[in-house]
Amino acid sequence: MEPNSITLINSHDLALVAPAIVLGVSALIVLLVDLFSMKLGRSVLPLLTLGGLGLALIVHVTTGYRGAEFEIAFDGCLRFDRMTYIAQIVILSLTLFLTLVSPLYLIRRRIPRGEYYVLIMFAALAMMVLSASNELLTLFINLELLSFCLYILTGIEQGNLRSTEAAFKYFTIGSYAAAFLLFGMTMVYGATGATHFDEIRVILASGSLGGALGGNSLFLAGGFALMLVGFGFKLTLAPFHMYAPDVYAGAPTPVAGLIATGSKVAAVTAFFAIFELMIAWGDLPAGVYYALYGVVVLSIIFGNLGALVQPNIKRLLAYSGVSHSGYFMIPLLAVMTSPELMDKAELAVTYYLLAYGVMTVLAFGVATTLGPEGERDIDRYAGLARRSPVLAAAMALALLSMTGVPITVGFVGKFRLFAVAVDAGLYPLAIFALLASVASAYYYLRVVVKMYMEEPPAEAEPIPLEGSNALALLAGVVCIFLFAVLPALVV
Amino acid sequence: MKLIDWLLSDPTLVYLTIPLVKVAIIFVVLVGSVPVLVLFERKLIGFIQQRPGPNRVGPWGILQTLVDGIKLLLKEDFIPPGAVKPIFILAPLLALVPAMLSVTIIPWGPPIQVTIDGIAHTISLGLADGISVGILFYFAATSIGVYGIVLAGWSSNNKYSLLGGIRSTAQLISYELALSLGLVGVLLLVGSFEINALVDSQAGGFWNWNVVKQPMGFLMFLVAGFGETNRLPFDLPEGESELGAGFHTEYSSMRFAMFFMAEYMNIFTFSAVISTLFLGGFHGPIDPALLGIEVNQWIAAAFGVFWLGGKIIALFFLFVWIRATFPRLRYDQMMNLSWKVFFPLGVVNIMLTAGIVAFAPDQPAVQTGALFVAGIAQIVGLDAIANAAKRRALGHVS
Amino acid sequence: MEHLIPYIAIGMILVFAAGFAVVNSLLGTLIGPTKDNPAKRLAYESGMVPTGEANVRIPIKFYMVGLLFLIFDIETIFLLAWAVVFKGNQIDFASGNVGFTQTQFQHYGFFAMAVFIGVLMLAEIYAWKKGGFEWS
Repeated sequence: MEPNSITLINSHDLALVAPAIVLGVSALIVLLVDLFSMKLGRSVLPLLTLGGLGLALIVHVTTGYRGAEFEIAFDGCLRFDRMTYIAQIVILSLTLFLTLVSPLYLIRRRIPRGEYYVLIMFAALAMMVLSASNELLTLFINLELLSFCLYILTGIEQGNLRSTEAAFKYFTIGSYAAAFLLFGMTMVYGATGATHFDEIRVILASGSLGGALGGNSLFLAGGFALMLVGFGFKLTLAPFHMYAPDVYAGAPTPVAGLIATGSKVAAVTAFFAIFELMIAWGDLPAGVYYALYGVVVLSIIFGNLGALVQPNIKRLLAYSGVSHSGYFMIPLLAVMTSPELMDKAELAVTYYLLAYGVMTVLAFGVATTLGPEGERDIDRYAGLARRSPVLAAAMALALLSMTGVPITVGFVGKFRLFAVAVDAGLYPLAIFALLASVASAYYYLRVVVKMYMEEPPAEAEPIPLEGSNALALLAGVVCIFLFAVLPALVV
Repeated sequence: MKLIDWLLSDPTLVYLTIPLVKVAIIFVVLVGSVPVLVLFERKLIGFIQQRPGPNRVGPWGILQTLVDGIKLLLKEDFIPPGAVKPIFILAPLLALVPAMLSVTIIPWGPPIQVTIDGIAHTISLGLADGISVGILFYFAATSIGVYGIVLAGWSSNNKYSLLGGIRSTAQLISYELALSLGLVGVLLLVGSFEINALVDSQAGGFWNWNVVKQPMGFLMFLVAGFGETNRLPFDLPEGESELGAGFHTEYSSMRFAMFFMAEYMNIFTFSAVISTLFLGGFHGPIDPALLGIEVNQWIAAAFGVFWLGGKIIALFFLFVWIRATFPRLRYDQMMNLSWKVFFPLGVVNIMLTAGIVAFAPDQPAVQTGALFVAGIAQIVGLDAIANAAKRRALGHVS
Repeated sequence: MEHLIPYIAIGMILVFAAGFAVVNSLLGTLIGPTKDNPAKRLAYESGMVPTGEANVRIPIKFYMVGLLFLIFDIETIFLLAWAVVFKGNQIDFASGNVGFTQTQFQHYGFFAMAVFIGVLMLAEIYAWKKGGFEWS
C-alpha cells in the first residue's frame, strides 16, 4: 500500500461482502427477536434463520462472483475467486441444511434456541469471510470468531456433562492451536514485513525478504511450519486430530455436523491461500514438503484405523473426517512437486469441498433426525431400513459416497484428487490413498449392513419424519447424485 | 572536568540535568502534598461536621499528619503467617509507584525560554508532557495500580481482604470504561492524544474550555474519577461495616501507609488530569492578551502553576465535600451506575459530539454552542430519568 | 529518537518512586518492633475466630464483569483511535492524493462508527436483558 493512497470503503467492496452483511444483520435480528419475544415468538426463530441464510445464498449467487479471475476488496484484505465462491455456496447450503434438521432436535434436548441460531449464523458469517481472507489478521480474527461460536455451540446443552466436557476440550485445544497459528503468523510477518497475502507473495517471489527479522528464511520456514500445525488442529489432520472424536461425540449432533463440514470447508479454503504463499516462495525447504507428506499419510492411516473400531456413529464420522482431511491435502503435495498442476489441484480441492460437505452433512443430518438413538451406538442402527426406509437410504447413500462408490460425489471427488497425484508422478501416494479408500469400505459398509440386513430391536417403533427434515435430506440425496453426474455444474 | 560543568554541558543538560531537577521538584511536591491534603481533608470535614478536627499537635493541628506518619513508622510491620509473602510485599509497591508515575504528563505552565552558556533552551513545565501517547499514559499507569489492590487482597489470606480486592477490581475496571468514554468526546474535538495539544486547544478564555463543550463528558469523567480513586461515595472496597478495611485489612505500618499515600496521590493526579482535560489546564479563565496585558514568560509560568494548583485544590475541596455529605452507594447501585447509566450515556454523548463536529457549520462559536446545548440537554435528560426511576422505586416500596 | 526524550523523565521518576517505595517498606521493617502472640497470627475477622478457608469461592458475577470489561474496553480502544483521527487533521487533503474532502471524510467516519456503535449497543442490550448486570 502506498502511504498516501487513502481509500474509503466503496460500493464495490460492499457488494462483494453483501451476503455476509445480510447474514450478520439477520443474526442480529434473530438475537433481538429472541430477546424481546415471549414464548410464542421463539417458534419463528428457525424461520428467520432460514430466511436470513436463504437470502444470503440468493444474494451470493446473484451478485457474488462475476466470472473474473479474482476480485479484491477492502484494501486487499479479502479476495474472491472461484474456490471462495464455491466454498461460500457450500458453507451457506450446509448451514441451511443443518438449520432445517435441527428444530426438533433442539426442542427435544432443551437447547436454548435463540443463542443456537444466532451462533450458527455468526459461525456461517465467520466461515464465509474466513474463506475469502487474503490477509493474516483478517484470517486469524475470522478463525477465532468461528472457533468461539463453535466452542459455545459445543457446550450449549447446559447440564449435559459430555457436552460440557467436549466444549472444554475443544476450547483448550482450539486455543492451543490458535497460539501456534498466531505465532507462525508473527514469524511470517517478521520475515517479510507484510500481512497482506498479495504483498507477501510479491516479496517471496522477488526473493529478497524484508521485515524486522532481516529476511531470515529460517523464520519464514518456521512460520509456515507453525501455521501448518495450527491449521492441522483446525482441519483435524493427524497427529493433531486427537480431540475430534470426543468433541464430535459430546457436541449436539447438528453442531458436530457444522464442525465437521462447514468449519473444515472454510479452513481448507483459507489454508489453500496460505499454501499458495508457500508455493510462491522459491526456496521453500524440502522439510515442509516431507512434513506435509507425513501428515497426509498419518491422517489417512489414523483416520481409517480409528474408524475401524468405533462403536459410536459420531466418533466413526470423526475418524472418517480425519482421513478425508488427509485426502484434501494430496493435491497440495502434487503441486509442491510440479507447480504447473496448480489449476488442476485447485479445481480438485474445490470439487472435493463440495463433495465432502454434502456427504458428511447428510450423514450428520440423518443422525440428528434420529435424535437420541442416532448419536450413540452403531448397534442402534440395526434394522433401520424397516423402521424408516428414507433415513436408512439417506445414511447408506452418504456412507457409500464417503467410500467412493461410483455415481456419487465421493467417487468423482476422490478420483479428481488422486488424478492430480498421478499427474504429478506421486504414484506411491496415489496407490496408498486408493488402497486406504478401499479399506475404508469395511467400516462404512458395516453400518449399511446393520441397517439393511439385521433385525430391528423388538421394542423398536417406526420413526416419524418431520417435513423440514425430509426436505433437507431429500436435497442432500439429490446433490450427491446431481453433482456426480454433472460435475460441470460446480467447476 | 568538574561535575557541575559536566552537568551543565549541553547534551547532559538537555537529557539529564533539566529532567532531574524537574523530577526532584515534582517528587517533593507529590510526596509533600500527601500530609497537606490529609490535614486539609480532616480540618474541612471537621468544619462541615461542626467539630474542631485535629487541633492538638502544633498550631491548628498542622503537625498532626506528620506525627501520624511517625506513629505508623514505629508500628510493627506484620506479615500474616498465611500470606503469600512476595506478593504481599510487592502489592503496596504496585499501588504506590504507578500513582507517582502518571503525574508526569501534566504541564504546569507555558514553556519558558532560557539561555544557558549562550545556547537557547525551551524548557517545558512538565516532565513528560511531550510524549505522543499523552493522555493514554495516565490510563496505562492507573490501570497498573489495580494490580496493587487485587494482589494485596489476594495475598493476605483473609476473607475480607480477598472480597475487598475482588470488589475493588470489578469497580475499578467498570469505572475505567466510563473514564475512557468521557475522554473520547474531548479527543473528538481536539484530534490528538498529546497533552500539549489538549491544553493549547483550551487557551484564550474559559469559553474555550472543554467543560463548556463537553458538560456530559466532564460529569462522567468526574464521577468515574471518584470511582477510580476509591473515594466516597464509591469507597466500597474498604466499606468498614462490611469488610473491615477491605483489601488492606492485614496491612500495617509503612506498608499500610503506602496504600494510604497512593490513594491521595491518585486524587492529586486525577484532579490535575481532569483540570488539564476539561478545565483549561494551566490557562486562566481569561487570557491576559485579550485584556491587552503583555506578560513576561516567568510571570506566565507562575500564573500557570497558580491556576493549575488552584484548580487542583478546588477539586480536592469537592472530593472532601462529597465525602462529608454523601452516603456510600450500595454495590449493586454502583455497578448499575457504571454499566446501565454511564455506558449508554457515554456512547450517546460520543455520537452527539461526532455528529455536531461532522454536520454543524464549521465555525467555532456555532460548534461550541451546539455542543454546550447538547451536553446540558443530556444532563437534564439524565436527571429526569433518574427522578422518574426514584419515584417509581419509592412508589414500589410504599 | 527525539520523541523518546520525555521518557527519560518518566524513567527517572520511576526510579525515584521505586526507591521511595522500597525505602518505605524497609523502614517499617527495620524500625518497628516485633512482638508475637498467638492471637496476632489469626486472620482478622472483626475479632471473631476465623471460620473456614480464606480462599473462598468468588461469585461468578465477578467473572461476568471481567468478560464484559474485556469486550467493552476493547471497543473503547477502537473509539479512542477513531476519535483522534475523526477530524482528519492528520490527512493532507490539499495534496491531491486523497479522493475525498474533509467533510466527506467526517461524514464517512460518523456513519461507520454509527454502525459499529449500533452493534455494540446490541451487545449491551443483550447483556442487560440476560441479566449480566444484575447483582442481587
